[in-house]
Amino acid sequence: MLNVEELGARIIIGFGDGSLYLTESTLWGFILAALLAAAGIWLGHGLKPVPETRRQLLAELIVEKLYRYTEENLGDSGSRFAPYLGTVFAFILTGSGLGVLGLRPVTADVNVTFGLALLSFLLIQISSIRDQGLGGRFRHLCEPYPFMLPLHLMEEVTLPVSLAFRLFGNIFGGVVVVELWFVFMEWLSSFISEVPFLRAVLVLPLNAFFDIFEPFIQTYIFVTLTMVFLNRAVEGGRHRT
Amino acid sequence: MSTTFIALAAGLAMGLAALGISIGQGIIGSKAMESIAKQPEAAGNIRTTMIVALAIMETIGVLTFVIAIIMTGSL
Repeated sequence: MLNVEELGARIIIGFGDGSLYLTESTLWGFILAALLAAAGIWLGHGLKPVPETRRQLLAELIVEKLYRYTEENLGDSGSRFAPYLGTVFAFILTGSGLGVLGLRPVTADVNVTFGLALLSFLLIQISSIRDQGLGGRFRHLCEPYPFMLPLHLMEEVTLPVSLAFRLFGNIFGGVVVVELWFVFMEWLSSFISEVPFLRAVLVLPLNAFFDIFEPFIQTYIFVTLTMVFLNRAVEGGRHRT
Repeated sequence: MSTTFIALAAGLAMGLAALGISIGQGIIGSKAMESIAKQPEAAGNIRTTMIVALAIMETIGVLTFVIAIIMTGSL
């Protein structure tokens, strides 16, 4: 029987009497952030006007793709959001893909995904208020009729919740399926020998789907949905003025 | 008695979610194929949009799966 109590992130390091602790996902989140920052600094240092090294070509390729993608979705003024969106993309992609290394994915923790979704929510609200002003934002929420205001407010709050639960559900579902597959394979191989040898290679297709394909799709969806809502919130006032 | 109902509920939740999602994904797939047949030059764009739509729909199934797992855990 699968134990539901053990499905959460494990506590790795405890400080003092154990009331202050680091879970698996927090620790790996910090390590990933440091690694990504190091990779970014390595890619970005010593750039020349004319690219000489392959490193600079790679960096230019990534940045160009990112900026083009952002401008396609957000218009010409959208490039100011590209650094944030790119960072979120890199973090979620590597965080969800940790399962390839046999670790627990960072985003299989509901706290991490809610944090990321909260960042998206704040970005949308703040940039919308900065672009349209508080009054303009309020008028935009009262479109087309003032009595729609509660519905619009509810929509704004639903966005981060659905973003967070979508990412969490998909990655966590993958973790659970792989875990169940291990249990099944152990049971099957127990008929033949003591060693659960069937666990070894047969899990690779599941890994390919849940740890490589699914993170790409989910990251893409997270960033794209953030962009769609950002576009609506920022552009909303611009058409009328 | 109550554990029987929990098991039943887990199975029903998963099955009903799968029913709705499969119908919806079938519609998305058929529409995407129709539009690719109409406009073969836009196939790449249509495929990307289709995958995003499929994945958004898939989310419901995954969430139901998590709920069903939690339900079977309380058996």
